[in-house]
Amino acid sequence: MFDDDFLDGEFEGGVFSKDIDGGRAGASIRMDDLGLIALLSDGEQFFLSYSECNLEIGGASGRMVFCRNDDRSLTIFCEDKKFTAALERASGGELLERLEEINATGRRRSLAGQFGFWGFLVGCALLLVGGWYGILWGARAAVPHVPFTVDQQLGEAVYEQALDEVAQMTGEEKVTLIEDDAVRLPLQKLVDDLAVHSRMPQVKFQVLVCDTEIPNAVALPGGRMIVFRGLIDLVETPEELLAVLAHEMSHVTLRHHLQSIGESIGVIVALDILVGDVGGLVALGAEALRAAALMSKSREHEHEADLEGVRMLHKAGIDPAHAIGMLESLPHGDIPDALDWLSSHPDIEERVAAIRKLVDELPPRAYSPLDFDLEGLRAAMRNRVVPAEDAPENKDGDRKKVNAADAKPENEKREEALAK
Amino acid sequence: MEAETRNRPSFANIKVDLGAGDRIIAEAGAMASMSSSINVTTRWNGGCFGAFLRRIFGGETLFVNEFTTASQGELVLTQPMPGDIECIELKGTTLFLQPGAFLACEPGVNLGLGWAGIASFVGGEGLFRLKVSGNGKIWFGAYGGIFAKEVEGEYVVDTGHLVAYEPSISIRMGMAGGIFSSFFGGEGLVTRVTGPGRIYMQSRSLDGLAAWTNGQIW
Repeated sequence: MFDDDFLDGEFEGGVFSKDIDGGRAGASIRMDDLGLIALLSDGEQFFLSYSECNLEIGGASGRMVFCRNDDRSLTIFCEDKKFTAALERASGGELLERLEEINATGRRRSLAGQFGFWGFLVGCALLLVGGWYGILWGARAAVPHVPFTVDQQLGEAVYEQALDEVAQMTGEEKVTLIEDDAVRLPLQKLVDDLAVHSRMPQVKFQVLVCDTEIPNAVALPGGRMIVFRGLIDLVETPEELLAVLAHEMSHVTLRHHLQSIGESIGVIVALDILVGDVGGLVALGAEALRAAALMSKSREHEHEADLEGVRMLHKAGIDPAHAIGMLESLPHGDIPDALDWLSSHPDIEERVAAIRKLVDELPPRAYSPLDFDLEGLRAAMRNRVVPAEDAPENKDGDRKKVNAADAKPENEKREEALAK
Repeated sequence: MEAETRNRPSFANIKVDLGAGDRIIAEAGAMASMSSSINVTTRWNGGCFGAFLRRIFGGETLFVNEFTTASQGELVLTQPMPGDIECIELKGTTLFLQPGAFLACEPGVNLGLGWAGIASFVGGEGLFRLKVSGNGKIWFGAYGGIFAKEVEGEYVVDTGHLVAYEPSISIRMGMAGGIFSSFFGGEGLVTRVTGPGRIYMQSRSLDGLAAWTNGQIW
């Protein structure tokens, strides 16, 4: 059945002819009852009858159809997939035999091309996945060979930035550190006692306490730890507080910060190899490094820190089940990712399940309660001495040292009184 | 817009005289000098994703610069390697360029990426080739001189010498001769092109230079 619509169809193609300036030009190809008509953009037309049309297939794609006259002085070519079907119908069967051969060749080449293309895509996907895991593995393998002094220098370099990040999260202009020894020293002793049970007992941790309501703690590379006042207020037992600190100490002893930086460098190097001119990407890379050094940690790192923290508690003779209680009592909802202990990735339930599994697998031993005066610490925080520069002005406009309770703004004091 | 290719063939560069409203698009880093009256707009080379594909598989830069002027000005474009620059005017036709060859084009030219095939990759010609089509002039560069050849039937080109070819040209990789002559005659794999169509070749091969340099070092 002949479809008249084909006679009205146009195909994008081209013409080779010595009559064209340059010998070739793009053309719109049409078909009539007698042959092919190629119309050039300047209005010039070329005609090739079906009777003198020799068909060939080739071209870069392997699917281009060439219609050539006997002396090859005129060639009309087209790559459109529907071209051969239209030609078959328009020529009324005159070119049928040759077109069938061409279609068969075209199908074979198309299949081979598709096979190659999809093979390439699968290869690329495998290379990407393999490359990613290679980078992760490489970063982990390299970190043990880097001296710990690098972690310490890194921690020193990002310390001020870390304080700024904490201030930004809490909406404060500047983070206030509680430098009162009555607050800091008990926490320092708590950490020092636990540190001997870590994988790197030689690490000297330095505890800092910041006057921030958010219940959290952050460890910086090298061993500096920032404990938030909100965490001390939130925990119900000293063991829960220690569970959080153990988690943060684990990030340091497992050297997660350096691993994150190694992964970021690996990605940048891979991009550099793959893409070449990464001028604009270098700035992004520097940002990634900074973020990695500060607080960003992967799902795997959080899991590892949870489990290592549990092992440390177990070794220290503290019941690691307190870590579960602490996680379960956390306020759920919108939690900033950068706040490590509260990190919403992985999911809290997932973390609890993993810890519970490890706790069940640990060899049984007798646990003893932690000898730590949590209430005394809280009282010390309330009654701590506020440096003169942080104290409110008196009637005469002067500042002097006061205790923390007195340093509170009047509205906060009123709210506390009402609550009581 | 008037364009002239100067200092051919060894250190070719393009001197472009832009008039008011004229535009030319060049790969990032191609500008050697220009009048202060010319404005440069930088954009992704065909969208962010397309630019990355062209960079990785087509050897092109991530960004392209578009040069325009409200009055008139002179612009000099060049390529990173010593060699010739060829100008082709596309009239609704298409040309495939080997990775890294593209230098500049007029706004009516479309840049795309075409699948070259596994055989091309094995022969060191790349998995993809840059596809330029539409209407307008394009400039592409090469290492060494550029010469064109009208191909009817089969023609053999050593790998690394093919710079550009028309879509009517089919390409396959093969050995230069028998196994012995291919490996011991120094020719190894060659590109077998089949016409009808025109191919553009470069008189020197960067791979050849690299191999020669390595030989001198070690």
